[in-house]
Amino acid sequence: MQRLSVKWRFTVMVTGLMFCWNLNAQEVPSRPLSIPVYHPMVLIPGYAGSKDYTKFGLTSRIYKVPDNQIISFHQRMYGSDGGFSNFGIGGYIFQEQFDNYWNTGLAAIGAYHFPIDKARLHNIATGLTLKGILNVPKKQSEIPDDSLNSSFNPNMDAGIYYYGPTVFAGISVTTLFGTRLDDGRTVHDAAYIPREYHFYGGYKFLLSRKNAIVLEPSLLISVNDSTFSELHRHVTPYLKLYLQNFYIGTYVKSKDIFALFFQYQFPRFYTGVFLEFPRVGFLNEDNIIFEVSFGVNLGKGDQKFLQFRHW
Amino acid sequence: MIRKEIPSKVVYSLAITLYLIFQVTQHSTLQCAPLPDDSTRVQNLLVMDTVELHISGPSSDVTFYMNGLVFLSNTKFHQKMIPDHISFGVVKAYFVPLDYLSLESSRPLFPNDDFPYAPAGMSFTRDYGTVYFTKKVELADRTGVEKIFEMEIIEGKASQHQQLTFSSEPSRYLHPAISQNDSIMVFASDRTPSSGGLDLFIARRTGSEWTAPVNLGRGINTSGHEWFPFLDHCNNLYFASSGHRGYGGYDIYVCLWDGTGWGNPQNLTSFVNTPGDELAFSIHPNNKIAVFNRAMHAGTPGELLTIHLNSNAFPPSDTIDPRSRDICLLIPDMVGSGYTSGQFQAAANKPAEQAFNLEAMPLLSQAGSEEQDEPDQITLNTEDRTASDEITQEAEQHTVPVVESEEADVEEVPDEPIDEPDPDRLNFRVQILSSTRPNTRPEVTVEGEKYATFEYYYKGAYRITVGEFPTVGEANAFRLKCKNSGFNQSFVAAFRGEVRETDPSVFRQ
Repeated sequence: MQRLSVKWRFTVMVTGLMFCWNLNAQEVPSRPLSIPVYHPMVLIPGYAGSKDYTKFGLTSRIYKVPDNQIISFHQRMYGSDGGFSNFGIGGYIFQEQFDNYWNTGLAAIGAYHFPIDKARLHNIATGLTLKGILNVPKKQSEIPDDSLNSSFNPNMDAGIYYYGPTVFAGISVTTLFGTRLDDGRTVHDAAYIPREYHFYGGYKFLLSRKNAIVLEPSLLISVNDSTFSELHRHVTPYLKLYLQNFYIGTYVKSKDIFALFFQYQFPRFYTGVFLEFPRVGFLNEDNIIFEVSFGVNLGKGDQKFLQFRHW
Repeated sequence: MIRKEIPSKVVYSLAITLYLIFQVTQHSTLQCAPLPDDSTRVQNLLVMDTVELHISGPSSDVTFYMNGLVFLSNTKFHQKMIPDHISFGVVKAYFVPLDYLSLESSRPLFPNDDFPYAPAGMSFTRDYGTVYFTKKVELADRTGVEKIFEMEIIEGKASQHQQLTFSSEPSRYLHPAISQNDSIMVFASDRTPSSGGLDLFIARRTGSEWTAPVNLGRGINTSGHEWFPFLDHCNNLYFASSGHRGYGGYDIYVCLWDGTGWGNPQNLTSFVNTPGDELAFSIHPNNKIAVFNRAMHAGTPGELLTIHLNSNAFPPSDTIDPRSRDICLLIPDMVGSGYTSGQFQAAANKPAEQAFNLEAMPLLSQAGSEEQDEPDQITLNTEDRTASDEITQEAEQHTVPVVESEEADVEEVPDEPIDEPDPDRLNFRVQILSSTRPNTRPEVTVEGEKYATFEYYYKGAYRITVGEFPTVGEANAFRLKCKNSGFNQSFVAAFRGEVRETDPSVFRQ
């Protein structure tokens, strides 16, 4: 029997993981769940500037669950000759709501992209994010105000990202210095964000060039210092199917949760919808996480707003 | 009530005045008149088509190279993955065969050099051994300016780029067009003296060097831009201009070669030109297809158009008509009775005035001390001293070197196409050898006398001929001499100008 190639084994593995995953549902995270889909540079700083257009995006969780928003942008810088330089920049502002806190954050990303072939199709980027997160107690909290303190946590992310015509993969460390645990804060506080380690990689299969159909299985692994030993429990397989201006995707992070996300690129702007709901009780609207995304892809010169799809 | 009759003289005067005003108004709109009948007839012999090659490079222009086209594209458009999913890549020159025009059939022009220079600014020598091209260089003040470079193509690979010495001063030098015998180059530049904008200049080859450029004069250059020159195998000069009377925007014009110089610019008629911009006209060496760019609105991506010979339009009785095999020969008929440099010729085939005489380079020539040091010089044509004072003053002092023939010591064999008055004339040459490589025998010895050879490319090989004779008889007599000198396989071949004529009936004339 002929052995499967590496890329097909990877696909089979991702697909298998999607159907066999047997983990418990995780807690509601402190960020929009769709960040890996719509704002990957939050996890992988080297992603900033990995596209030949400027991308602005806004994502907001809008339904029944803690309110989260993130606005991000990234672009490749231009050189003195009008062409692209090797520098990418990006940034994002986010707001998260917890039981007792508001978290507001601001981040600036710088990345340097090394082309590794003459045709500049394969690149390795190193990225660094400087960010600050302001934790502010809620006024209406049931907990007395004097037991909650505002705090500002500067921090840093760093990572490496490879991207080529069909393969992409990145590793990173976010919140490099962790959240300070002074002032009586513990790892159990909602405002505590631990140092995290991420791997994000995938492969694009061209199914039909004529119809622009591409299948993209990928994996996201996110662990922190305390969960590092349980790496296998934090692997999230993703699957995206691109159909010209549209893609549909899903991921499986537990057998109890089902997720779907979409994006459609109109001329001049794009919009996306992200849904995560439990397999049991999905009709209960309280359990549904619903995020919407909206953005524009900007070009240069005559193409201020890109008229055509760019993924 | 007193009623006064208007005198008939006044009525006639008014009518004549109105007619004159109408005529002046018509001519002042810079519009060409409707096509003459001859042009319309010729245009039936040509077919225009769009090129179905989706070029996504920084420019949509192309140039001919061997049996295909050269175009610029980003490497990401040549991957298996669709470009929507690929970022970046580099701009690169690609080659695609004319018979299979698609991105999938394309390949990098040179395997060892991206060569990301605009194809319309490239010009290949006939043997494809050298390319002249336009490349931007950075000046000391960090501004970019176009210069003309030369590069040898060795076994299909790029070699070192060398800037032509005459383009070393800070002006712009772009769009070189090399003649088929590699002896002259026409290019666009804003160097002085200038008629304004970019003008066309000419330089002649002297050995491995080029003479200082000479402005082609106000017969050809205007206060607008003249650029994208191209020289066909008859040495007709095509270029794009916004300064001559035309159909709007940039139009393509042709200056027909009369054996000693170029005639006044003639619009390629509404068959080619429109109110949009027509640019970068060139004809494939097989003379059966031409290509040019058209952009209907400034800033919009250009459309690539081809002109083919419509072989079906030639009746069977016209099969020996050389025009059925050569676009270049149709061009004079097409423009023959059309616009010529500000006036319409009343009758077709009226010989056009000469705008530039190559043998006596007149007009706006460059005042260069190095030129004045040359031994052989030609004085100005005083009749053309109507340009601006500045230009005229320079021109009056200017003399232009004549290229000393490299074959001066060789017995006279008129093989320079530039000196041929009639590009369509029938002649006979003795073909003595073939070679897969060009320029293997620049001269040969026949019965103790040296003869310069003429080489042409035909069916995959370079054919070497000696002599040029108006009749078969004379050619046959020379063929016997060649055989006696060891060229046992010599035979007589017929030519129309420099193009091999394969119709056997020409030998019966």
